[in-house]
Amino acid sequence: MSTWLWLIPGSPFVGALTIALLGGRLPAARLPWFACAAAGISALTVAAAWLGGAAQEPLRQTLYIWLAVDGWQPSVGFTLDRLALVMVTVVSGVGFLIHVYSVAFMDKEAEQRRYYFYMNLFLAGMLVLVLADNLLLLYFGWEMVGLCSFALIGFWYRDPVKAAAGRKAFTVTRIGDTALAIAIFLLFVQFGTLSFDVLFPLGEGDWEGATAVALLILVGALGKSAQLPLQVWLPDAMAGPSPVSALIHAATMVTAGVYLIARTHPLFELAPGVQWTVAAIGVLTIVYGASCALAQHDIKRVLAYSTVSQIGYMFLALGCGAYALALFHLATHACFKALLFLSAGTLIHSAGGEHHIGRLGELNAGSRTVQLCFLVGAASLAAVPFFTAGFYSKDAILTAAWVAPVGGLLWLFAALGALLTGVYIFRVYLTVFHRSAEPLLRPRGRLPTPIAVPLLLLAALSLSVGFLEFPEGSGGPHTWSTWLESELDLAKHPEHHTTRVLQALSALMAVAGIALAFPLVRRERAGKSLPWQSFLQTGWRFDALYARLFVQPYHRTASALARWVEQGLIEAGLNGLTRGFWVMAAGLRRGVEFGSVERGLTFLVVGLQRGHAMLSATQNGLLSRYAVSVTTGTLALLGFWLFWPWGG
Amino acid sequence: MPWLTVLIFLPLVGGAWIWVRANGQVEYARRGALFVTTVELVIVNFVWLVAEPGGDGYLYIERHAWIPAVGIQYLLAMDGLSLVLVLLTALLGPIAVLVSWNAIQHNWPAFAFLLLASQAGIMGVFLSFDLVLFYVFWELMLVPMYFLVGLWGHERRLYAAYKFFLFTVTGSLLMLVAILGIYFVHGEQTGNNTFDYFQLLNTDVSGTRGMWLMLGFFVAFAVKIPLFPVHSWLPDAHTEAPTAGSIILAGLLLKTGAYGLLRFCLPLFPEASAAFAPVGMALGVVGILYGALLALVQEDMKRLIAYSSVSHLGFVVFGIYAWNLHGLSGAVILMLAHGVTTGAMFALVGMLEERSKTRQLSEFGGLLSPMPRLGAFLLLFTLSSMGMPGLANFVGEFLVLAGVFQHAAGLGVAGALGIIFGVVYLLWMYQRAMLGALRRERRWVDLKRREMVSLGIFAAAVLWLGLYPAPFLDILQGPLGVIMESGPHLSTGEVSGGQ
Amino acid sequence: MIPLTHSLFVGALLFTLGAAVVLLRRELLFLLMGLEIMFNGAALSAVAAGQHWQGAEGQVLAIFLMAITTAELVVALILVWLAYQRFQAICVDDLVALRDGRSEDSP
Repeated sequence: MSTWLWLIPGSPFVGALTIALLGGRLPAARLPWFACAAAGISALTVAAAWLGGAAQEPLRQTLYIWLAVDGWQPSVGFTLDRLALVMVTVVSGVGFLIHVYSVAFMDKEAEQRRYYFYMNLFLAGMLVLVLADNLLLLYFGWEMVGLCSFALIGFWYRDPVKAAAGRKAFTVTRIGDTALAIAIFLLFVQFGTLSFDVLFPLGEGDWEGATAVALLILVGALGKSAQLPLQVWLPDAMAGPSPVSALIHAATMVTAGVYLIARTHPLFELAPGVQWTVAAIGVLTIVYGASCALAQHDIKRVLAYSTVSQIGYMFLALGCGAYALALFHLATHACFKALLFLSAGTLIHSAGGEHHIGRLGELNAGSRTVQLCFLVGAASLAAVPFFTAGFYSKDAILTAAWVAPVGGLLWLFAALGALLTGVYIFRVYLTVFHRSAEPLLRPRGRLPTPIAVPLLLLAALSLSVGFLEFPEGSGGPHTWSTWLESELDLAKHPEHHTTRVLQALSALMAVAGIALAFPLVRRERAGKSLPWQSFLQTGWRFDALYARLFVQPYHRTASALARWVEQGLIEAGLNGLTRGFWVMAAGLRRGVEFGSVERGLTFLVVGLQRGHAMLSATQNGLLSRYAVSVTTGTLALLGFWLFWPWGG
Repeated sequence: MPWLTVLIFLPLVGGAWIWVRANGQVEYARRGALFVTTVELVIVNFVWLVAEPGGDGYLYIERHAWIPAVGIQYLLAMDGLSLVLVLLTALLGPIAVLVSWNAIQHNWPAFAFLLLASQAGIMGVFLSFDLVLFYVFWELMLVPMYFLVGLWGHERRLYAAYKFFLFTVTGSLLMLVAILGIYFVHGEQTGNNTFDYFQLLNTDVSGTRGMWLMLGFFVAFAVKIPLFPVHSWLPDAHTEAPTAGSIILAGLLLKTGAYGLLRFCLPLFPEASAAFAPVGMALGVVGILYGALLALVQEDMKRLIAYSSVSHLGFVVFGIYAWNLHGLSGAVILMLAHGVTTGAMFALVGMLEERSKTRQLSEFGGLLSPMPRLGAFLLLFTLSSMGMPGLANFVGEFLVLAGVFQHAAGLGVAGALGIIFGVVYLLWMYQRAMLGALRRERRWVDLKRREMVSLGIFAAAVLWLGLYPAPFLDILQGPLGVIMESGPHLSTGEVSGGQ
Repeated sequence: MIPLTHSLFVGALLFTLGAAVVLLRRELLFLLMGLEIMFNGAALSAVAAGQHWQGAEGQVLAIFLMAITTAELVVALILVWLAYQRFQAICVDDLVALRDGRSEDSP
């Protein structure tokens, strides 16, 4: 099985290459199915890996040595351990479903070749990211998904706003990426290797640089996972097509930060302060995202802020040492958030590109299936107790948060977030699907199969995945955390009674949130808006703040450098130098050239003229005179040689 | 076969032949130039394949007396470092011809001759190991370049050519003084007057004298690289040069400066260079950030890329003065990567200019729709330029930073900021040129086959360097190891004082 | 056997006489004759020297000299004749075209 490991990222990669190089030769109608096949082969290989024993023993494969300098040889090599297996399954599975969905969704689009190229490339990059056996290769995948995210957000690049959104996403995540790169350098300088196998046993020693490195890795993760304070790019990233939002900006890429921290968790355990910061940022982001989601009118922006908020839960779990639970929430979130995005996408599609929830409600464009799917997704997101996947994953994180340092506060924030989650998502659900007015658009007939199948599958998963891990203290199976225990330690939970109380409270929160959504929607229909509406809608005005703090000063610095240093100092200096030369040259011309040289030359010329006049007299054309002078000269020379005492 | 001599004189003789024989026939000159450069490329690849390193790590050495009275020899040699740069030189030759195919409007034969002559000069710089011979080639490559810029350039070509010439000549005169200086020092110490690089390596130049001589070399190379604050000639020359000229300038001429640092500054004056290393690294960082910031405010696309060159070459210097195997390997790989990437970017801008007669970003916008191929290529090279892993520049930048972090983490962090700065201006450029709504209605024609071929070669090189740089890194280990050993090893504390 | 000094003396005498003719006379034909006599003096010296050192070179030189003078004379006579025909000049002082600055009043 190990020898086929490369096929997991390789098949979408080959797919992307083929589309790029030969895509023009394929018939346009086949292209989407070709891309799906590439994603499908990858998913099949993952399935084969499950059957082939990857669940027990890690599979490894090294393709070739990437760089080799001075004994350090980072390779292009893959390791499929349990952590990676979870990620790979989520990525390839959801990825494949979304590819299939795209076939119908992007049907009418003109530049499908570009779309499928980047989709396949994204899958390849994401799979490389999670399979990489060293940090350098991880960074490779990390950047590649960033690129695809940029390109796909700006897929409709003719709209400058969308193009700018792509650029913003790339730039902001690049800030995090650079922090990650610095962390990689520090690790490399300390340990001389970047391979996970070698690095992490070493990392368990006592090392004072751990805090700095962990902090930098955290910043990298914050950028990719859109957590405070680098969350600003994700809401704008909704400019991309809905399947892209579902795949990249909900299910997979944005959770890469979670994966990264889980992968490097031994480092965070060396730096407890940083680990607590992870949790703190997590809870802040939960509340931030949920509060912003409350005030949005664009359905996709609600989901974007919701993603920000949900990833906050994963960070909270990571910060509390509950790595397996973070991954669990990652998996369930991938299912229900992809489901929400895809159903929202279908909705928007059938409403002719309308994003505003109020108007979507008026149009009443969703069919029964879509409404059902959205409801399932919303329930799972709001963590409706007992039969949704979101309940099992989120609940476990909440109880685990209690035992962390200052756990009460963390729990409080997280619970507040859970309450708000119910409010905002059901606000959307109610506004869009339970409009009292007459529907303007008749719901279409049957959904196309490539759209319906992924939706229903994801809906089923959103309900069922949770049963893998029952709440702490209850009798059900704990398959997930015990299976991952060998790689990610078990989470600590508070004592039995406390756990029970917390579980009950959080279940209550979810239900209360949903209940609160009804009066809110009624209020909104009456035309009243939330307090602080614009503050929340603009995402706590982070964009304006950053524009003031960073973007404008940066541009101003650049212009100032161009004006003062480049033009004012260097160019002017050069001009001064040139001018100096001019002045000197002019002075020389006056002083030396006219003064001495010119005069000397005149003198010489006059002298020559006189001499010429004198000599000219001797040239009289008389042959005999010439003969006389020749003879005289000859005789004189002869006399000189023969008779001069010291001559000859 | 004296392959090294062939490598240098084939373009020179071929160019002269074309000039004399072409008789104003454009087609003859183009095809002839393409033929000569292609043959050159084939020979270089052949030389690479059959090369077997001698005991001293040199693949080829040719030594003949030239002016024995003062110890000047015709001494050519090739080690791994020379080899990779010669490869780059040979690779850019045919491409420079291809991109000039229709862009050069008048007097193709003379253009071909000058192009080939500058290629010959650059070959000579990379291959000569006698300091006087080196100096001769160093000046030889300038003259054709001066004419290329001055005769076939754009609006302000004469100003640019003049500035370029003055800057570089001033630098190289200082180098001449330094060459004579080390010659006399060596003669004084051993009684053997020679310009032979291998013998001069053993000269003991230390103290203030060594520092002054080293600075003489350094200034000449710094002008060529170019380092802040003597970079001022570069944006003008790049902008005004014809496309092929820009490719040769950015791809090769700048590399001769960095090559000079590696080949002469460090091994000949190890102590002085070690003392100078913190300053060198600081200059590198300033170049990285300064170039990136200035690139952001440029309206002229060629100027923007020119400033990005300042930024990238800052990385090269950064890596060289980190002076460990990672930094040095990274610097050389980055030199290759920059040659390919920036060459390709200039080629692309040249193609845009051929179509629209302008280079102003404000005139472009939305060009991806009419020209998807050109847009795809531009994106590829833009990504490479901003250090996307898997593409050429990343390998170089990563190794450079890995090298720098071993000495001075603070400087390393400053250099890493360059990665962020790079993404800002490059994406801005890409967006303004390619994305958004189509701003000017013209008959935009997508890339033709000739253009696809030249860009395809670049793209293949970028991917090769990015995904599998091992062959290049392998041949570099020997020569770079020698440079490493030549110097006193920098202790970590010593350099980190320069943060 | 004639001693060397004698023949050299005769040669020098011939040369001097020829030179005197060249310097003193003005008629073109006399000048030519003076030149021939100078040649003869030189040739005689060469023959004498050859005899003195028991070598053939002197006689060879004399023969060459004769040949050359013949050739020279042919050209010179033509020139003299031409000068007469063009400028009606038999006297060398009539031919002053080389005089500096007075080319306009050539004979």
